[in-house]
This record gives sequence, C-alpha cells and structure tokens, in this order.
Amino acid sequence: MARTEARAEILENTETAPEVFRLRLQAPAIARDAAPGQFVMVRCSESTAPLLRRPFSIHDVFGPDVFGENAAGEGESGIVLLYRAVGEGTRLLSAKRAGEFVDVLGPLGRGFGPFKENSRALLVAGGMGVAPFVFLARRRSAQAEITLLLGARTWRDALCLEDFAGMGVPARTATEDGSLGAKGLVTDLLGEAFRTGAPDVVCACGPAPMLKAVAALCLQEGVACEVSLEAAMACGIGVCLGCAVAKRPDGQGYYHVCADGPVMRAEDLYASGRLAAL
Amino acid sequence: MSAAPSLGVTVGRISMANPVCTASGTFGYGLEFSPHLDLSRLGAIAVKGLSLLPAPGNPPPRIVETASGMLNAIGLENIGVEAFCAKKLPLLARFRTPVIANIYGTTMEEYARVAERLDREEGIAGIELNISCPNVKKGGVAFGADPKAAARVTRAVREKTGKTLIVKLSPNTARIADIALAAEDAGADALSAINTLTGMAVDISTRRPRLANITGGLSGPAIKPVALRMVYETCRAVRVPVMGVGGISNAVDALEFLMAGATAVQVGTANFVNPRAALDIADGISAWLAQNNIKDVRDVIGALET
Ligand SMILES: Cc1cc2nc3c(=O)[nH]c(=O)nc-3n(C[C@H](O)[C@H](O)[C@H](O)COP(=O)(O)O)c2cc1C
Ligand code: FES
Repeated sequence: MARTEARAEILENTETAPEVFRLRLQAPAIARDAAPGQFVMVRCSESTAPLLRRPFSIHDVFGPDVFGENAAGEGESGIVLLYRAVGEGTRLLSAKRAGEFVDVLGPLGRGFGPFKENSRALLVAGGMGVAPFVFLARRRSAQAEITLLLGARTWRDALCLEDFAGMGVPARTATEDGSLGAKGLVTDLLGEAFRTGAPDVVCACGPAPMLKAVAALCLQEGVACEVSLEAAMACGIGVCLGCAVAKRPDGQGYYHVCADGPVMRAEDLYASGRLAAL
Repeated sequence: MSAAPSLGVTVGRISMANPVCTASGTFGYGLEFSPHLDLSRLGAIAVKGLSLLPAPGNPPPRIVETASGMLNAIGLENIGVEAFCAKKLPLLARFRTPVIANIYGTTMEEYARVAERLDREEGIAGIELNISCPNVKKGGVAFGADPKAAARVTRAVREKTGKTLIVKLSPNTARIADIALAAEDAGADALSAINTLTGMAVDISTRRPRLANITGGLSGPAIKPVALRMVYETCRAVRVPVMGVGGISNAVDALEFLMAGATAVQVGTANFVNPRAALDIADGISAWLAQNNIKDVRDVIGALET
C-alpha cells in the first residue's frame, strides 16, 4: 500500500454551495495510488491550532497520470476534496487560496470492495456523504449499473447531482422538506428500490443513524452492504488506536476506522436479522 | 567545513545514534512509519505498551483534540507480548535501531511476567515500565503515584531482566522527585518523564464528557512547560539518565529538555502531525549544534544556567 506525505499545491478552493468547498490539489502520487472510498489527512494549519490533521474522503481524481497516459506526472494531476467548513480546521482550510500549499497524507485506509462484472450497485448518500461516490462512480460506472440515492435536508444540500448526470449515472433524491425529489429520507428511497428488485450491492456513506438504518435493511434483505464510517482520528495510519469502533455486538473488541475502514462490511458492524431493525 | 557534530548518547546500556526516541503509543510497533522515514536513523524506538495478554482497550470515543493538544483514553489496547515477539519484533530486526518495549500490568506479577518474556528476546534493547498510565482502572497509576509501590514494581521487574530498565514516571503526582528516587534505588537504569496529564473535556450541547472513559491523558505542545519542569526536577533528584517526554515537536523543544538535564528525548503526539517528526528533530539538533560550533550533543545536556 503506497502512501505519501506531500506538500500539495492548491489549484482551486471554491465555495460550490453555502459553506461547501471544493478543493483541488496537485498530488500526482496520491491520485495514482488512490482507490474509491479511501481518504487523506490534511494539515489545516501550520501552527498548533488546530494541532491534528483532518480526515477527508477522496471526492475525485484528475489528470493524465491517473489514466496512465503520463508516467512522468507532468501537468495537472491530483485529487479533489469536498468539505463543509464547520469547525476550526475546515474554516482555516477554506481561507486558503489557489497557489498556496497544504500538507496531505494519503491515500489511507480501505476503500469500497470490487463490484462484480455487470452487477447492479446502489450508492446511498446522506448529505456530505455523497463525496466519495463521485470517485466511486467515475471508476466503476463502466463495469456496473450504478444508481445514486441521495438524501439531503433541503435542495441546497443536495450536492454533486451534475457530476452524476455527467457520468450518465441515474440519481433519485429525497429531501426532508420536499424541496427536491421525494419528501422524506433516503432510506425511504432504498425501501422502494428493494421492492422493485434488489441490487447486488449497496454502498452507503452519511450520518451514523442513516448508515445503521441502511445496513439493517440490507441485512434483512440479504443484500451485500458496505458502509463508510467516520471517527475522530489523530494519526490516520493505525498507530494511535483512537478511531475505534465496536465489532458487531456478538463479537469482541474493536476495529480501527482508519486502517480496517473507513469502508466496512455491514455484517462486521451491526447485528443481523430482526434485532438490527429494533 | 568542520565535521558533523557527534550526536550519540547512552541510556543505561543502550547506545543511541542520536538523542531522539519515539514515544510509546504514538509510533505503533514501528513499521507503520517506514513509508515516511528511515527507521535506522532514529535514536531508538519505543513501541506501544505491551501486556501479558492482548487487550481490547476502551470503548469509543477515545480521543478528542484540545487547545494545542489532545486527550486520549485508548485504554492500552495492544496485541499482547507473545504476538509482539512473534510477529512484530522480527521485522524490526532489519533496522539497527534499538527497540524499547513499553510494558504495563494490572498486578506486580503481570509486570514481572511480561518483562521475563521480553528478556529472552535479543531484539529488545530495553524495557520501559509504564507505571503511569491514567487510563486503566487498576495498576498503572497506583504504582506511579506512590514511591513504595513504584519501588516494589521496579524491583519485581529488575529481578526478571538484565536489559536496560527504564521507569516511566507519571506527572499526576506532587512527588515526582520522590518517585524518581524510589525507582532509581530499586534498580532502574534510567527514567523517562512524563506520561500524559489526566484531563477532561465536556460537550456542552449533550452535557456529556467527550471521552467514553470520562477522563483521558493530555499530550502535545500544551503540556511541554509542565513536562520540562518535571524533567528538570527529576534530573536534579537522580543520577541515572532521564529521557524527556512531553509536547516535543521540533528541535528547539528537544534542546530545551536536553539543557534541562535530559540525556535523550521522546517524541509522541508530534508523530501524528508530521510522520517524519522524530527524524526532523534529530536533524534539527545536529544543525543547531553545527551552527553554534558545538561538537558534541553531550555538551548541551544539563547545560542550563541558573
Ligand atoms: C494515543 C497515545 C497513546 C499512548 N500510549 C502509551 C502507552 O501505551 N504507554 C506509555 O507509556 N505511554 C503512552 N502514551 C504517552 C506518550 O508516550 C507520551 O508520554 C505522552 O504522550 C507525552 O508526550 P507527547 O506530548 O510528545 O505526546 C500515549 C500517548 C498517546 C497520545
Ligand atoms: S486514527 Fe490513529 S489509529 Fe486510526
């Protein structure tokens, strides 16, 4: 597993929705080695405030290097991160301009498992959880029939729909206030999708309660399900043991989100069967 | 141009090529950092605290960032001494860097048995006794806060090993010098100070502690002034070498500890921020010595003028 720490030039850092930023970084080695679902740790400040790096999933990759056309890594090649400026670190990051540099460590962790040839995959996203799915769809849309189910609070929080449209990936949307797509939760869309024919695999990313609900549905229906977890992280490389998440209730001990995840199989995290739905 | 300054120091019977060691619990079992630095160039490597049996650690959340620092309540999760010797240690043998095994137990007997097991391993240069971890209910801190208990556990381990024995002191006591003396009298070859300071953080929106364990250990730049003072007091109390630990992030920090009397330093939380930190610090010390025409790092150890 190749992992690099690089001072990456910022090519673009623009607000694409209220408080949501798209950060394009020149990082050829990370782009070359990245797999969908993996993440990077970014140092948002040169000082000790905040001290620790922040984890971000890889939203997209770009450049000739990534597609094997330019082994020398000339020209623009790197990764894209999508983040909401909510805390101290992300607000500092959002103030950085093109031409400045940030320190990036990655790619890190374990991404989404391979899709079977010609399989049907449902990507279930809640809010910012859509971020890694652009990279996933970009890599996999030729080999699997992918559909995106996107849940958001309002139409303003429904991100990246144009990216999926550009890749020809169909998307269904649910908003809590009904301002875009169906009124309700993304799990309503999932239940509906199951009724019209179960997919081969479900990939989910979003808030913890959403992941739990998606996993419960999949475990009940016997559909393979992978969820992308979040946890507080200090190192991102499996040494601090801070990012623990409990193994499924009948198991013992903990996984480490940065090393065993962030993408994990639902059956490794949640109790199966009817219990899970309770 | 003059020759590069001499950086070698000796802690117990451990010859370190430079005075920078990694701190236990912040460097895994060592190999995890090999993509970022040449492990052979480190002064020494202290690995994650080992217990007799594998330990699962505490429930999450285990860490939270605080002002210029972090709190952790990992609960000493580790793979156990047997798995360490079988799976990790052989891989570390490729590097010529001395390996220090950090150990802990919940009883004196457990400490002794872990030490006994490690004593058989050629690849182990030293044993660091964690009598100071605030995150386990039994043992740990009880040994670290009472000079008599610290002496007893040091003696129990001393009887089981001829390897360099380093006792790691807790800052969570008003009597660090007494505990240092007790450990020295009981046979410690060296001391390291400090472990994390017990602390706490609250989420006011949920009115809950931010750590499942409620309290945790504070580390990082926030604790450096406290660590420095405690290292200074420890160095004045004992004759054995002291490894200074706590908030060291750069060469200047490290030099402060050396001047206060530490023979070597350990770098902890800084590894998370900069995976090359320990090496950058060793190189920075060398550059500073060269700039100041100091030929040997030992000339700055304890050079504090008061
Ligand atoms: C995540 C984490 C885990 C730690 N685990 C151990 C351990 O297993 N044994 C030990 O003696 N000290 C442990 N420590 C304490 C460090 O070795 C060090 O004494 C302390 O963090 C202060 O140094 P620093 O400010 O450079 O991190 C741990 C510290 C952290 C942050
Ligand atoms: S963040 Fe340090 S082990 Fe996962």
